[in-house]
Amino acid sequence: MNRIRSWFHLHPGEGSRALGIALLGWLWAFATTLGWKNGDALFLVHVGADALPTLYAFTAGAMLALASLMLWAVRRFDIHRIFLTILAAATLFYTGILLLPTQHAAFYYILRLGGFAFFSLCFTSFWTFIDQYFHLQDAKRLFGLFTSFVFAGIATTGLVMHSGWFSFPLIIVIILTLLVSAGFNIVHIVKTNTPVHDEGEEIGEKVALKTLLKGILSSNFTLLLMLSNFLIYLISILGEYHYLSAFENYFGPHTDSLTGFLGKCIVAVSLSNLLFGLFAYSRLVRRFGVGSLVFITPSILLITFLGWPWSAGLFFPVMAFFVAEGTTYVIDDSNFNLLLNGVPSKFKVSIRICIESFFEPLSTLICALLLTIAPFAATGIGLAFSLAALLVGLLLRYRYPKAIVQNLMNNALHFDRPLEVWLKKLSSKERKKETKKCLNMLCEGTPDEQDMAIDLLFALNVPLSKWLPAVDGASIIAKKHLIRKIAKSNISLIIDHLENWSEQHPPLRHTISLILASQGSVDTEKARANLSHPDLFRRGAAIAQLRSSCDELPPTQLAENRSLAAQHLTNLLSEDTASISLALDILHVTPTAEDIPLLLSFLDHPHSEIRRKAIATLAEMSLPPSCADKLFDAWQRSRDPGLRTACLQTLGKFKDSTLIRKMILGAEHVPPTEQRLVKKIIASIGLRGVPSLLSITKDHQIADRCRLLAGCILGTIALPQLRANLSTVLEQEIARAFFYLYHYHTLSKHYPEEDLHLLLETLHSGFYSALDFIIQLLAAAGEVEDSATVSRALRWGTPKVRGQAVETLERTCETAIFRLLQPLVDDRPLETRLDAYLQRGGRISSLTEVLDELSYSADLGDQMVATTLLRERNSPNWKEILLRQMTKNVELFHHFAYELLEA
Amino acid sequence: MKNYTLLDKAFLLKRTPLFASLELDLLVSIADKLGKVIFAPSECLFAVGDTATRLYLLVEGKVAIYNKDGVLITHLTPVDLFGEEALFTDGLRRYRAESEREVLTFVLAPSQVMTIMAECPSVATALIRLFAEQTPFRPRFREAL
Repeated sequence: MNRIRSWFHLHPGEGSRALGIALLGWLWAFATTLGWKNGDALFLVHVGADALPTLYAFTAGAMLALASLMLWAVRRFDIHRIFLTILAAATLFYTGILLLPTQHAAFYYILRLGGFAFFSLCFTSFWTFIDQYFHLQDAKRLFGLFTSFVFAGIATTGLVMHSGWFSFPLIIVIILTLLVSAGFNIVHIVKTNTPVHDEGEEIGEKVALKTLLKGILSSNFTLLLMLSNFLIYLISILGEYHYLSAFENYFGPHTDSLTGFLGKCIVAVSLSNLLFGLFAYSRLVRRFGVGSLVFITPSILLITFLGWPWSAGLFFPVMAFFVAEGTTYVIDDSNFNLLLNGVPSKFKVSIRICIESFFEPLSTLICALLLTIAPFAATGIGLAFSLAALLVGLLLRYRYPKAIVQNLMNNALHFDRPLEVWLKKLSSKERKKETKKCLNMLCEGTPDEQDMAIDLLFALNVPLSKWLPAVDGASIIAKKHLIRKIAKSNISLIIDHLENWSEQHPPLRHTISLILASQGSVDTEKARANLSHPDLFRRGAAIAQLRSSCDELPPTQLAENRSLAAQHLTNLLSEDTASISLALDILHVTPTAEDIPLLLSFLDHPHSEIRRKAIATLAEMSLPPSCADKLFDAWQRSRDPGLRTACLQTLGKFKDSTLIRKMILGAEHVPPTEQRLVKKIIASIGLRGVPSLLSITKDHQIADRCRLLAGCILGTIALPQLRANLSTVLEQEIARAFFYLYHYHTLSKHYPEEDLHLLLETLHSGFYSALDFIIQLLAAAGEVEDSATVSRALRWGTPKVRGQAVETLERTCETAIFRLLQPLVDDRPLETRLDAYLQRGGRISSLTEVLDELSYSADLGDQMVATTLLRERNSPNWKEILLRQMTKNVELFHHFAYELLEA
Repeated sequence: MKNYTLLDKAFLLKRTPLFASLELDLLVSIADKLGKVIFAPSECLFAVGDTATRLYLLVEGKVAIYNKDGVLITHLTPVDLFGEEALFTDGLRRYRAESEREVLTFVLAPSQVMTIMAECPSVATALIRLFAEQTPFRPRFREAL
């Protein structure tokens, strides 16, 4: 059983589902091709080959109309309903055929046209229908099998027709039976299977035609895929014309020899298609990737059209026959189903319909036209199209991994994308509209919305003069927000409004007077007089004014002013929190290098507002490197996100490579936004940081998050160095992930009496931590722009998104590493994953061995759980382990250790 | 129905308790992922037992919420978020939502909600606050007593 499963790449428990879908492929393909091919034969007998061009024209027209209808339908209804409707329509059609009189030529036109249309519609519906149940990795395993069953259905039609045992009415009855069976099969599949959607499909947004067209035009990969398919259709038809002409010339009037030869060819191609689809395609695609298989058909056709003029034998025509009847079905159709995962997922179904329903009739029409105009140049045209298809194939191969990554990125949330990048996408008309909306918001919005409107107007680069009058009507919060935003740079732009605002909102007066004073807008004498004013803010404004006294004053007066200001500032700083806060506001609007030690000392102040104000001023100053330690401590100690970010930004200004290790180790437990900032800061140091980063990435005694951070930065600034060290690092990590996974799933079976809840949780999170490390590092080494997206996609994404993430890894990392990693990331049954651990030499550890292993982990949680459980189990060496851990770990661990020892 | 631009959507999100604390650039990132779904009057948005695949933000119209016995619980109006509960439990809807007139909603997929919470702890906190406000007494405490 296992062997059969492995032949067909089936996972345990997947057989009946795959068989059900394969059977559906066989049923509809048999039913529709039986109708179509019989229609063909009857048309030739009763109407004649001369009417074929008319029939082709009708077919092309009808198909274009039906494809449009299908496009409309997929945007409104579930695909299984559409598929069922098509089958129901086909059933009605063939029932009608049984009742219609057969003496008119129109009957045969209708029969042939309907036969082809139902085949084409069922083909598109079938693949769209089953696509919703499989992600890309499943598709690579199983779609070859389904293609083979579709082909088996077509081959069965050949057998039935060749046997000649069935009359036409009996054939119609067979068709009706098959169609009804297919319908029941669909209902059964829908009831017993759950679709795997990507985010776009889960959201269920309907795509407008305009959006679809825009989406197609903006995706190079989609355009290439469409072009490639169109060219393949064209050259297949040209090839068909050529081989039929060649066969006719070779066999001349000996119709029996021709029929016999064609029969042999059909048997050979059918058999090879079936075997290739069942056993070879999936293996090839998994071994070489779909990108490599896109060359096969164009290459064979290129050779065929190149050799044709020099050979009068049957070798080249037979090659063309094998392409038209063989490779286009088993390779190109299957390739298409996989490559379709590279087009924007929102448009996938619509693009499938465009290609499968529009392109075939269109290419038939174009070929007919070309062959009518220039029959003598047919080989040349074929050669040119083959060459073009080969080139397009090359481009497709190059673009495919990028398109998959792009799809992954399209599905991801881009928190790291600055507002300006989003706004760049707006046209000038849209920018004007948004500006107008912001102005309305300033007058009518809530304070929060007004703040946002101000941010947006700045980001839209709308000159302040155009919207400043609107701020007059905004809330005090919005005005404060604007003042804060421009206090340092362009306060002069709003100076005329400040007076009005301070009258409008008395609480704003203090802020405004301080700003005005720092601009030197207050008379110095008046400021000196105000130094003893009972109002704290008047005093503050006076100090600010004297500190910012302009250099045009006589030196003695200037020195006197500044000395007075310093004296009063010191007084303020020794008073209560409100005075200190005001003093820091003064330092913020009139900063000098001498104030740095003073400001640094306030980073330890118990009041968060004071700390925040101190760092806000420091962040805007140019600091000496000696301040780094103090800032680093403030970053590590503070719980205030704003202060932490400001500390980091200030640290980043030093561009000091000796800080790298400290910053990375310090970033172990920081939120993602802060980690991104650390990453950006260290990356800005450049190649000087590479040795430190490499040593951190390779150090197993450092926590995963830190090593990963170092690795990701390396990927950004020194990709070759990261790649050169990747295998060594990853092989050990993969072994670790397997260890966690295996024991997470097996320990409780081996120790049913023990309470292993805590340990299992630890192993589970350890597995994800190791996996996260591996994937993000691989993504970083694979030049994936945002490695965290791949990791998030694997952890939280839908099966389809996970499939795309795995494909991205497969395309970007070394084959040997991907093979090792595949059982960990692929959606495969647990037994297979556990077997993979044992197959790669993994050891089954006892509970004590697992705990020992965890005690050596770099993760603090692992160490704590391991020691706690070792103590609970009265392990003789738990104290030694604890002491060993205490020598390396942080204060937090020491608290834990003492509690454990005292318990 | 009004055509909402990316920035309109960001402003709408700002008005919801879940996303109110986020900065504009984060809101725009989330707004970019909002899918637009329109429901006709008296259309069932989801029924009891349906698999939960979306979190809804009601933008226009009115939605009636019924419990599993078909009793009307409440009406939702624009800028109300709903449907998030099932994303954190067994994934099945425990109430029915029906449009009272034509309804415009913006929706997010569960994996997107999880990513937002991982990236923006304030959203997770807001969600916990919302749930806590609606849960005066937890059953397991009662059982313990």
